[in-house]
Amino acid sequence: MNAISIENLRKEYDGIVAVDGISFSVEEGEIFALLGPNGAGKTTTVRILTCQIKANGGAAKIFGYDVNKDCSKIRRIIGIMPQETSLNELLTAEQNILFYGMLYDLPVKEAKKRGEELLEAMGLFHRKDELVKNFSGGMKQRLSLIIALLHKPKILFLDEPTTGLDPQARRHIWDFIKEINNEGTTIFLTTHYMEEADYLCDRVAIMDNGKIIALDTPAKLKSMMEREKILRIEMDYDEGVIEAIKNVDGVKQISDEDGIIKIIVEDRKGLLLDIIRNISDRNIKSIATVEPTLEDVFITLTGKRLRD
Amino acid sequence: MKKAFVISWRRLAEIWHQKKLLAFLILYPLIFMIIFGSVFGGENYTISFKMAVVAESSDDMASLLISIFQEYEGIDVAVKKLGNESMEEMAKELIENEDFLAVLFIPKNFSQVIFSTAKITVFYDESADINTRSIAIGTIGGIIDAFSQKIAEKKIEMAKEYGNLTEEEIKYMESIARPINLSLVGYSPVKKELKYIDFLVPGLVSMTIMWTGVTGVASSLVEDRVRGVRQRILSSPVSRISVIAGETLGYLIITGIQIVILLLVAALAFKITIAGEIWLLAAVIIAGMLCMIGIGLVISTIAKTAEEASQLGMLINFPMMFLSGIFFPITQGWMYYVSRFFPLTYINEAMREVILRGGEFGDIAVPFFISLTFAILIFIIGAALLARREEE
Repeated sequence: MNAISIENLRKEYDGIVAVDGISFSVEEGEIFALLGPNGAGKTTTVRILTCQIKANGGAAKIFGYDVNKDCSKIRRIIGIMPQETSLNELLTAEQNILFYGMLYDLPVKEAKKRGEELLEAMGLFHRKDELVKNFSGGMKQRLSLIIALLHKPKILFLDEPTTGLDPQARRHIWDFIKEINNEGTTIFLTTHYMEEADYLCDRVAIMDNGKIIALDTPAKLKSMMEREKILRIEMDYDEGVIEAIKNVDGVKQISDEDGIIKIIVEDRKGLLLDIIRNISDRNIKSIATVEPTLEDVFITLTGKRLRD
Repeated sequence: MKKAFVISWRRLAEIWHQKKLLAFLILYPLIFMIIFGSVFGGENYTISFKMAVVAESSDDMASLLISIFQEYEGIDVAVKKLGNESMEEMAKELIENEDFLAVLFIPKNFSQVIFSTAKITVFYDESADINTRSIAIGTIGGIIDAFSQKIAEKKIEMAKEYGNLTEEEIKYMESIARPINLSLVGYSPVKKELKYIDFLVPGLVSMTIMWTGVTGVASSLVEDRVRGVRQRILSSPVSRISVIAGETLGYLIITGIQIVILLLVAALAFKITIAGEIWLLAAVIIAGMLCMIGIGLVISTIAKTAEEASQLGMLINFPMMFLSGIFFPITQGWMYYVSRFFPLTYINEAMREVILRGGEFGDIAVPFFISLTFAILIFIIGAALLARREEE
């Protein structure tokens, strides 16, 4: 049985289309990511799937339960880690766990025991009696994840689980997500970090403007770019140089960040020479060809970058 | 419904962790009570004033009258001597420069009053506050009336003893001295003498219900929504009804604790007692809390931030505080008609009836059902708005 199956799902807010007829399915046991920039419709999709809002059209099922009819059943088998940490800041970590545990019908003793195990696993046990408002961002995310797992959900929805975290805290959460997945929980996450999707996921759906524009394994998505090459040039440049390179025959996309220009080009003989001819009078520090990332895939597909 | 208790437990635990808020919630009605109570709530509701007595003679009768004034509680008597100036000049001087509210002149040969008549003149400060002025004039007039009454009785006694008069003649004299016997019988529907503090305490209970109910509920519910806590709670297997019931119960408990402390302090510090049945008072208070929590609920669906919610709450609370009879009774004029629109007016009426007059259910049925109806309506509106808001 599919963990999630979505068909032609639509959601509008005051005439603005947030989710524009998407269809896909997620298998049980998968880690599946919805990758896209802010405003792509990822969170709206999650909120429909988790019974927080109603879709305007189409169908969605979670383990066979219809999101329009079986919400009370769905709520019991899903765990949600929302985008905002949405914890009770004025309760202690343990009180938060007991609160949500009781809302999920766990007996107090069991909620406490399960909470302590998870706190231990997440390295938060020694701070369980502190008020959450004194926690760092990373600690809040971890506690939020613990709460999402209390009732042993069959599927876990993570809405931007590592946004705003430092690399170390992010890695901590990733490893934990992999561990949960190894224990059999299906994971559905949204992210605008391509590294996150690349590192964690079995399959990635790229979403933009409410539509799914590509869906495959990270490796296959990257191999879509086999016929293209990516040049990474470190140099002094200005707008004029970028314009000049753009006009070279065979250049598909160009982007720049922190003194580095990335150019996606077709595989054509003499192209590199044509580019170099345009920049030969500049101070070039290095030129290299690099492996494509999911970000490059996104740029190729949409012409824009993930994080803007 | 078990989950409603979980929701209220969380609300109470959150408040418990905010010690400053907790102290504020308990202290602020007490501060109001202590300030208003000590300014207006003294043992007797009397007004004291300064009065000068200018005696042109120092005979027995004059000193007797002066001593009556001096013994009267609330009158600060200063005895003056008349100089070369006229009475008017002297009165003007004393009222304008020495701040006397009244100046009383006892004429020369005042003792002659036993055999003939005497004229006492009182000048008073017309610019003084109307309440003080009328109480002062009334008191002075009353004392002089009683004094002349006593003299009249004395004269009749003397006439009886030495006058060799017939029964009819004595009766006639008595009728001249006192044509009407005024018999004053005090009757109060209140079980004890009413003081301002008695009036104030039920009002302060309303005020507490109002502030915690309206601004407390509105801002914390908005806070939950802004932080995503509301959405997270609703994504668990809990019904919206349980959430609303749980929040309501939580605030009923908080306000209940505030009110119990307020009434205990009122009983200990100001000897306020509850004349009526406690359960009836509790029913009125709960109806009031439901009205106010309902208003808070509605505001929470309109406001975008917690700050906006508490400002909107104040916008409603301030007019309601002054126009529903918390600090002073509103019985006439445009304010009366405005007050009829505030649910708190009916809560105040019902509560005073129970606390002060020992009213029974029949006495408060009308205001009680008006507030209960308001509570039900506002909750229906609030729940509907909340459902719409969460769809966004």
